Amino acid sequence: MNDFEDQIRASAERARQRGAAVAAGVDPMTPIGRARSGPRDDRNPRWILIAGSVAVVAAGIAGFFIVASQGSDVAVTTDGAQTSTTSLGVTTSDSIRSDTGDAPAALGTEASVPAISTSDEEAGSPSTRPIAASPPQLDLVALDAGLLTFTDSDGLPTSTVQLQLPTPAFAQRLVHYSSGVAYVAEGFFLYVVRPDGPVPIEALGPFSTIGPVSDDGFWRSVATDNIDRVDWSFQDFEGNVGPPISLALSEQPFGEVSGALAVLAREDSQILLVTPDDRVVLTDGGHFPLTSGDDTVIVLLDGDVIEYSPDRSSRTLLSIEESLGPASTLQATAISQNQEKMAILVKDRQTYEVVGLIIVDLVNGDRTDYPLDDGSVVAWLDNSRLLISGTLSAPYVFDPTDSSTTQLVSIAGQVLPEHR
Amino acid sequence: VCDGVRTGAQLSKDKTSQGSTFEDFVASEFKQIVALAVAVLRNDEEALDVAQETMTRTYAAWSDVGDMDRPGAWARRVALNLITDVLRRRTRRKRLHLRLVREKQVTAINPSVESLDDAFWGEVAALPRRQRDAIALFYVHDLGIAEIASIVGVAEGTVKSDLSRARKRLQETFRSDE
Repeated sequence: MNDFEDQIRASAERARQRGAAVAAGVDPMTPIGRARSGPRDDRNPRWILIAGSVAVVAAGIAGFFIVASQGSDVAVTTDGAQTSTTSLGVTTSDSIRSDTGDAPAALGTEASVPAISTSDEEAGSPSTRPIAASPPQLDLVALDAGLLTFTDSDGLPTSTVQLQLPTPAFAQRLVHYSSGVAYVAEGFFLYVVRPDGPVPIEALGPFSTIGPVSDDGFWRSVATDNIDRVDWSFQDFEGNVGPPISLALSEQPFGEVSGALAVLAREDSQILLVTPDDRVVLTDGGHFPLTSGDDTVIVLLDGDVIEYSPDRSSRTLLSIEESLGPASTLQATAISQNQEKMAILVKDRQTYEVVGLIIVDLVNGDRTDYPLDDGSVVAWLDNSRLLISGTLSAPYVFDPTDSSTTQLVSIAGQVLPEHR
Repeated sequence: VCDGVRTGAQLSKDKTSQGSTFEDFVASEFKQIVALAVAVLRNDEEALDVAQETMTRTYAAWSDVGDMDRPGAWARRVALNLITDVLRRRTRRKRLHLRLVREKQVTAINPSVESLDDAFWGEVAALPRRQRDAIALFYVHDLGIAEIASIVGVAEGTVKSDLSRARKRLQETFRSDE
C-alpha cells in the first residue's frame, strides 16, 4: 500500500470519526413538533412526520373514516371540500383554518398530521407522491404595513417584528427569506430581520431597484452620473457587492442564468446574457422573456414558448394560443423547483390588471387556466402547489392538481415561503 | 374508532420479514450515513440534513425497503442521490459567488490536517458522480467492490475502473499541488 493510499484511508477514518461525533449530537428518534420560537437550527427528524402521513394514507386506503371525537381535526378548503385527519401523537401547530373564521388554535396542541409531498427524481428513491392538498411545509414570512410576521410551516404566527412604517416615498419589499432570516428593502436600507428584531443595513443607493433575487443575494441597480444608464450589481445577503454591470435604462434584467444577468433590451428587441466582462445576444427579434431557470431562459415568440440555453441552442416547449393576447400581457412568475412547471400570470388587455393564472407543464405541454385576483403574487411552495398572496385577499395555498385552495387567515400582505 | 390506524411510533416498531424494526435500522445506519455525507460534503449541517432526509425517505418506503436483504444499501443509494443534489446546489451558488470574488485568490498557509482533509474530499466531490460514489463507499464505508456495484448499479468491473481512475486523478491533483 503506498503513501497516498494510506493518506486516503487516514482521511476516511477521520471522516468516520467526525461523522460519528456529528451524529452523536442528534437523536434521530426524537419526535418533532416543538413550538418553534427559537433559532431554525433545531433538527426535526422528518421521518416521524412522514410516518404520520403514511399512517393517514394507510388508514384511508383501508377505508377507515377517521372522525375521532378527540384529537381529530377538520380542515375546510374554500371549495367546500372537507378533509379529516387524526392525531397520531405528533404535536404540531394547528394552523390552517377554514374561512369560516375559526380562531387558530394555540401552538403545540395535539392536531392534525399534515400531508407530505415529496418528489423523488432519481433511482433509489421511494415512489411517494403528493398525498393531498395540504398546508405548506415551508415556514412563511409575511409583511403587512411594516409588521413582519414569521409563521411555522402551517402558516401560524410564531413571532412578529415591527419595522418602521413604510414612508410615503418608499415602499417596503419583502425580498427573501431563508434560514429564519427575512430581508426587507426600503429606500436606502436593507433590513435583515430575525425574530428577535431587525438590523438595518445601508445597502441600497438612491433610486435603487431590486432585480432578480437568487439563493444568496439579489441584483440591484444604482444610479450613475450618466442619466441614461444604471449600474447593476449582485449583492449577497452578507452585504458584499460584486462588480457593476452598466446597462441602458431601456435594458431591463428579468433573471439570472448561469451567473449572468438575463436582460431584455427593449430598443433592440434582444435578450442578452450580461456579465461585467461580456454581453452575449441570446435571441434577436421579438422574443419576449417569460422567465429564467438555472441554466435556461424561457421566451415567448409568436405564441410559442421556447427554452434557450446560454449556448443559444433552443427547443420549443409548447404553443400558447393567440387568444391570450399580446405577450406584454403575460408574466411568467416562476418555475417549480423541479423545473417542470411554470406559472404565468395573465393581465387584462386594457387595464393590465392580473386576471388569470396559467400553469404550464413544461414536460408534456399541458396547460391549465385559472382565474386570479388582481395584484396577486405567486410563488411555488414545492413542485405542485403554489402560494398565492395579494392585496385583495388573504394568502392561500393553491393546488392545481385538484384546484383546491386553503386560506391562511393569520397573515396578510406580501408573503414568501422559506427558501430551501 | 381508529383501530385500523397505526401511529408513526407503532409503525417504526413493526418488525419486517427480516426481523428488524425501523428503529433498529436507524440505530445501525444513521451514523454511517452521516459519516458518508460528512466526508463528501465537509459540512456537518448539510450532512445531517442528508442523513435525516435519507431516513425520511427510507421510512416512507419501509414496508418495501424493510423486507430487502440489505435495506442499508438502498439507503446509501438514496443518500448518494441527496449528496449529489447538495453538490449541484453548491455549484449554482459557486457561480453566483464568482460575481463577487472573481479576483480574490485564497492561499492556504501551513494547512492543518482538517484543511488537508477538506481539500482532499473537496476534490472527491468534484469527481464525476460514479467515481465519487465509489471512492466514498470504498473508503468511508469500507465496502467491497461487489457491494458498491450493487449500490451504484453498475458492473463490478466498472467500479474497479472508476476507483482506479479516481485514485489516479486524485493522486495527480495532489502531486501537482505539492
